[in-house]
Amino acid sequence: MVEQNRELEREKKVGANLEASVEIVRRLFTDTPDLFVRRLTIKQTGEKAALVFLQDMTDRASLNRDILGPLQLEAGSADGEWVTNVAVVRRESVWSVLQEAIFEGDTVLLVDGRSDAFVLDTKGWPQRAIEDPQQEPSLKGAHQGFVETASQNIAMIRRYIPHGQLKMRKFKVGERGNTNVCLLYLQDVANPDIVDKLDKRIREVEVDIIINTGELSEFIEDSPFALFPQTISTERPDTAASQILQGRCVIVVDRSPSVLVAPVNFMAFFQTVDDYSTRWSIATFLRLLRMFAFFAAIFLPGFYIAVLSFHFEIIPMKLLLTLGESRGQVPFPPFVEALLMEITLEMLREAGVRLPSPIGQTVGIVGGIVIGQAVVQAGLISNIMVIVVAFTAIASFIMPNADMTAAVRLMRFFIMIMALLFGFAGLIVGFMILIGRLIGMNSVGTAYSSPFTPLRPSDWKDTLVRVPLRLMNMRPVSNRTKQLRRQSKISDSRKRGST
Amino acid sequence: MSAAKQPVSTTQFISVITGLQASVVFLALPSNLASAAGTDGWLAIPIGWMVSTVAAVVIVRVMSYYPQGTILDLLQHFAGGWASRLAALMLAFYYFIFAYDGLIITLLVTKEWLLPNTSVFILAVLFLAPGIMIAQKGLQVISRYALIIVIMSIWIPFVYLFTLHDAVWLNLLPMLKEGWGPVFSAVRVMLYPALGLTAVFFIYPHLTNKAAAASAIVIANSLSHGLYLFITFVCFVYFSPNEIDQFMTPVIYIMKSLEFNFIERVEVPFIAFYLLIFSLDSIPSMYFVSFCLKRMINKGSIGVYLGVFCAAVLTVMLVRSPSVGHIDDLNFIMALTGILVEYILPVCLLLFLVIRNKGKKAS
Repeated sequence: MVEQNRELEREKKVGANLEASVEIVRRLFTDTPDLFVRRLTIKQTGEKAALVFLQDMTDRASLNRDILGPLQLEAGSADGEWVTNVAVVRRESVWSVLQEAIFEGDTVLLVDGRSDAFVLDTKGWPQRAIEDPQQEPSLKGAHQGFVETASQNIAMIRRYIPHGQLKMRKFKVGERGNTNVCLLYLQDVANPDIVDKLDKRIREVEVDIIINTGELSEFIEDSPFALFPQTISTERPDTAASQILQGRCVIVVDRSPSVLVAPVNFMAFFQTVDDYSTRWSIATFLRLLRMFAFFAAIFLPGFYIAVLSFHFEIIPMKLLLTLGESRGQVPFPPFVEALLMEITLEMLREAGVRLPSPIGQTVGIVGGIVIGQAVVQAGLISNIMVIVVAFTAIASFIMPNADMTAAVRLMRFFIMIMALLFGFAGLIVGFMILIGRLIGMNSVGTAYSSPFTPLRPSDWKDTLVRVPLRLMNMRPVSNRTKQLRRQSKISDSRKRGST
Repeated sequence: MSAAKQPVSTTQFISVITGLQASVVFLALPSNLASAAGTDGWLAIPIGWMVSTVAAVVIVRVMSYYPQGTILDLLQHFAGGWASRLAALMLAFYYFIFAYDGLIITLLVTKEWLLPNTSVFILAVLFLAPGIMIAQKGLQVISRYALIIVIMSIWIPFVYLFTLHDAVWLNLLPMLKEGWGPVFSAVRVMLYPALGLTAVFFIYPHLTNKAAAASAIVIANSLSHGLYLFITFVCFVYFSPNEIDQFMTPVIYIMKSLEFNFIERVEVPFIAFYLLIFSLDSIPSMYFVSFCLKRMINKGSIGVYLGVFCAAVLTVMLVRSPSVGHIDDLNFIMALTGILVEYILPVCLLLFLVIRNKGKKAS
């Protein structure tokens, strides 16, 4: 009954009587000890008024200096209206809107005799300073990472693209969370179909709350059951900006320190911001290295199992002797050996992530000594297996994207089982399934496997290789951008170096 | 899904057709040609190419009469529902043999070279699983798959160049030692490797660039025939003319001559890779079978009929366990139905359509 009344009250408008209004505020915010109602008389107009705010959500200094100070002490403006030093002031009259504003950290000014309330922007919740991106360190890129406040994140992106065509669509997602979600794109570049599709999908999300970007990503992606990530989540503003310039959309979620990039294709997970600021030949080498690492991380243990269990005839004699010597005392078949080592490695990694960093180092030492030496000396695992697992681990660390690495780790176990059952044939069928998954996916209406299939040779300039920037005059076709031209051709005189 | 939602680009189209034509056939082709016409067998390839190019152009011409639908829609539109159902049955049967043939060759090669101790049934299930996964997503994903496999296999012909260091070029001489007679009889052998062109019947409505369809299919056909010519040459100059027809799969045996110091028996990993290429034969054709069945019965989804297809494959394998002799029979049936479906049917259809349109214009 009380709840019902409260709901009804929320939809009502603010009345002219201050005392009645304050009474309504008290009823709307029962059991909310951090709510504060400060009564005052406005010196400028002589009206009675009340300020309503949540104590720890507001910027106290701004409240004292810019609102209370002017209202109580200063003389009014020429037209007899009161003034404050707050930049953003809105007039609102519905209680539900006011309530939302208070919960977000704004201050509401109720004035006796007026049937409007004023929402003054005094947001000031606990915040973290802007730091280096923890998950995606880079050599040459900027050292600013996203923080938990959407408006600051948007500001950081805007610093890279101070252009009128950078547009934003704002959404509120979540029944309780009321999370601010922002969709950023370049209007004259991004494909309007894709923007509208993302817009629609975000609007359709009906949940209690979006705590992190990963959750939103699950609700808006095309294949929710797929193993591979379909959006890039990055905490680097420079990466986000360069993705926007490639014609993609960026989704900023308030309270989350990373943003989502969509649509993406498979190769986008292998690009880093450093690729564009090193020499192109080095960047190309790194790209190829990452691709090699991707396949090595998935297939190497499986390959080892397949060769040792089915196709040892392909091993040259000398290597076979070495292998035999190493495997001589090991009591387990290669699959069990590999599984033991891989699971140990996964446990070490997970322990390393969850433990506080001072203890985390201990895990490394224990793991290194126990796994690296004791197991081999005890004759439980062969030396070669340790090498294979270590190589695989390093290969999986090379990949720049954590979600892709996670997918690779899981895929590896599947391939190991296929190799155990069917040798090379199993590896190939596993590969077919991997390819089948990759080409079967779409990311917001664009092919995940582009630019390989559908074939877009012009996009190959920035996939396996990274050609010199002056040759990359076009934006990627794979993102179906409206405006393709990215830069005009460098003039011939520049090319010859005469300037 | 409708055709508009699953567009197929020209390169993907070329890959599907080339894959259907060449993927399993190239293994045995050199020895088949050699047994038909000795070392002059390669002369049959250009002749076969001409014949199949004509057939290809006819097929595209037929489809251009009803560009928004498959062959079944075309027949429904011009000749009524029963003709469409009959064609669906016939094409389903044809592509069933097509897929089965490719699958059996894959299985036998795998069993012989990679997994001699594993049962053929288990292997069949192993190879059908990714096939179902890819085929049930429709033509767009199938054609993407074909393209990516083709891109990944481009390097393979270059490896065969390494075998040329023990080539005996004199094997090719004298040319036409027995006249043109054996060459023309070898053209019969070339009909079977050209099969697969009727995939256009199903892909045509999906094509993004229908104007390029005719040139694309000619390119695809030329690609596969170029590959045949290359591989036949390589085998003819490597094997002695007297022994080549004794090898079932000379294309694999020839790799035994390759030697690297980091790997022995190079052919084993190669065959593993070939399994990818072989799948270009069975995956599209199993989709076509299910598509035809679905159209005939007008109920259910592609996935259900793919299940039916797999059950049928396993049943046939139970009744007659796969062997080399089996493949010869299959090839014979396939060549027969193939000539009917890929050469005679399109020509008849084209004549029918031309006459019908003329009759309409006259009236």
